[in-house]
Amino acid sequence: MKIYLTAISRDVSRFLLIPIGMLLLSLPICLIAREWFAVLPFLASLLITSLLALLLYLLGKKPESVPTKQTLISVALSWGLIAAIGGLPLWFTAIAMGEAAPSTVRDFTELINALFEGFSGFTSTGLTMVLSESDLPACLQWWRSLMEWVGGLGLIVFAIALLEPLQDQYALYQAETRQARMRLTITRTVRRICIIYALYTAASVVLFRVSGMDWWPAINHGMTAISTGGFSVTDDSMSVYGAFTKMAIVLVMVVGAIAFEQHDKFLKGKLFTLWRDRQNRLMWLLLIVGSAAVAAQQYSTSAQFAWVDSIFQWTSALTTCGFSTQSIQLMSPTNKLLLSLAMVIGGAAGSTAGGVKLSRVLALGEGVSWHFCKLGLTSHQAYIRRINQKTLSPDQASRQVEQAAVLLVLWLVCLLSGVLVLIRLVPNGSVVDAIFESASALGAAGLSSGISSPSLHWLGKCALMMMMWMGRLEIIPVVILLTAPFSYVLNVFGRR
Amino acid sequence: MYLIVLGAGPEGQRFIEIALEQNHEVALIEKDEERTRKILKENDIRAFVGNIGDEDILNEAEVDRADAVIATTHDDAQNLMAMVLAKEHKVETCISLINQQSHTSMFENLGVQVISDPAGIVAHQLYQYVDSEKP
Repeated sequence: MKIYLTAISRDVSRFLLIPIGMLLLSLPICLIAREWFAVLPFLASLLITSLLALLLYLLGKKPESVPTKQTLISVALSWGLIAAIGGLPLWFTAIAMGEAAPSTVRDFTELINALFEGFSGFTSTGLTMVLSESDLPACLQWWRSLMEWVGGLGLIVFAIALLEPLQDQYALYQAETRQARMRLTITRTVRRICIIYALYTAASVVLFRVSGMDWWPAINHGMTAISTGGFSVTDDSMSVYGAFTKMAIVLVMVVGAIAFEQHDKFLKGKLFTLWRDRQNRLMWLLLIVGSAAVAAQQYSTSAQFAWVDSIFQWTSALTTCGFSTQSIQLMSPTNKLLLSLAMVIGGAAGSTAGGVKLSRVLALGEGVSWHFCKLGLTSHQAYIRRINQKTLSPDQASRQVEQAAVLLVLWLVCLLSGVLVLIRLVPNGSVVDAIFESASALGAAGLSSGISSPSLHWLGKCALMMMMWMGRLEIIPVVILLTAPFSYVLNVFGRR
Repeated sequence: MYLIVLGAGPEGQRFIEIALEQNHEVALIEKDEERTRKILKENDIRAFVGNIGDEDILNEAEVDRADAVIATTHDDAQNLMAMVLAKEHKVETCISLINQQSHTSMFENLGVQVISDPAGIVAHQLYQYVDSEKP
């Protein structure tokens, strides 16, 4: 396949408008918080990003037509680049603060830590290099929350909604796996998604304020909860809050893991859609069964029921949000594996959640049950296959099941590779911890078994960043991007 | 009751709906796959794709425990074959549509219940309405 570098360059330059906008939006926060030391770093990041965008724009050329494979490359590349840019303000601020910086900020003088935070933010994962969040300057707390908020909805959606429409909207739209079309045109769909997202964010902030948070944590946590991100501004994540506040957070996390298509229907008055849709039904089932299992397991090891915490932790894992109310290190291995499973499954397709998504679980489930049903059919008997209430022709159904199976296999390969890397790098680290951390990074969850910290070997940080990036884009675009140079080189040689 | 319906034309379709409303168990035999799938989408029944003459298709539909076989296709040869086979399997009630009036005696010799010439029945009914409007 021919690759048009100039077209990719033009695409990427457009995507870079997003971090530019975000940096502009963050400058007032520095001023309001009277953190003068942060103004220069944010300006520097802004300047670098703008120059980069300008350079790529000038190098680029508007292409006549773009094959889907190429748009996948653009999206994967842009997402990685934006994530790297997300690390810049942290890095520069840490350098600018110098000796005056609290120790947790000083960790960001190492570029790799800042990059890690950028990847974790823009993939709305929530693994962090910050040891005590409350010591961070307000502007950096804000920047982390904003990265997750923007990342959660998907840069792609923002690009379609707010920027000039790109050449082939639908190709790009599919590349970020949000295929449900709620309205006639994609542009309108995306606008609708953004309105719902903004509405829910505002509602979450108010809910958190009412349920016992101060305004600043409420704003930040509202943004990171609805985006199923998981960065916090308080030390030890959510453990400082009472049961009532925790339940409010659970509610928002669940809302974040429901598909926007469903929210759209719900807001139009079809209240029962939250039960009728099979993805939602599966989620309710998993939430109830999982919470009970985690609670029972906790009871068997510590002899006391911690209902609120069990529900919270399980919900946080399944919705791939990543807030925690207990230290994961203290959990039993069984519970860690249970939560890992939840993080692999993830939320609904078309929501801000990560993981392999509930729709794929449904497809795989149908595939398995179909395999057994088939044995009981007689030679003339007709059959129909249904996935998530949609009646499909045998071909279509097989294709859906196949796609889900392929993704699951890729997912498990990545998970295994991650575990193999991590297990070598963590001193006396257990297999379970490595599995947990890998599942968390790959599923964009952000619960941490303690492996993610500034003291982790750089290779481990790179592996986790890679997994976050791949997991959020559902692996395939990143694989295409990484193999593209080889096919490009082969092409050049082939022509001679 | 367990009813086997042959043909998913308008008559067969309506029959299935009525039978299901009355909580009877229904199996369908129909040669068009697309039509069969459409019925399956909306009704919870077992369905078999093929001609009535296909080997074993009636056995697959478990004809031996059927209380009735109802032939509703627009092809009298198919309907007749269904009736013959149903009689062979000693099905208690055999009912058939007859599309061409002259075939009626063939069916009656078999001893099955028939609705002969359904188009004619509808036409007569229509004409009666016209007739009754006359002063």
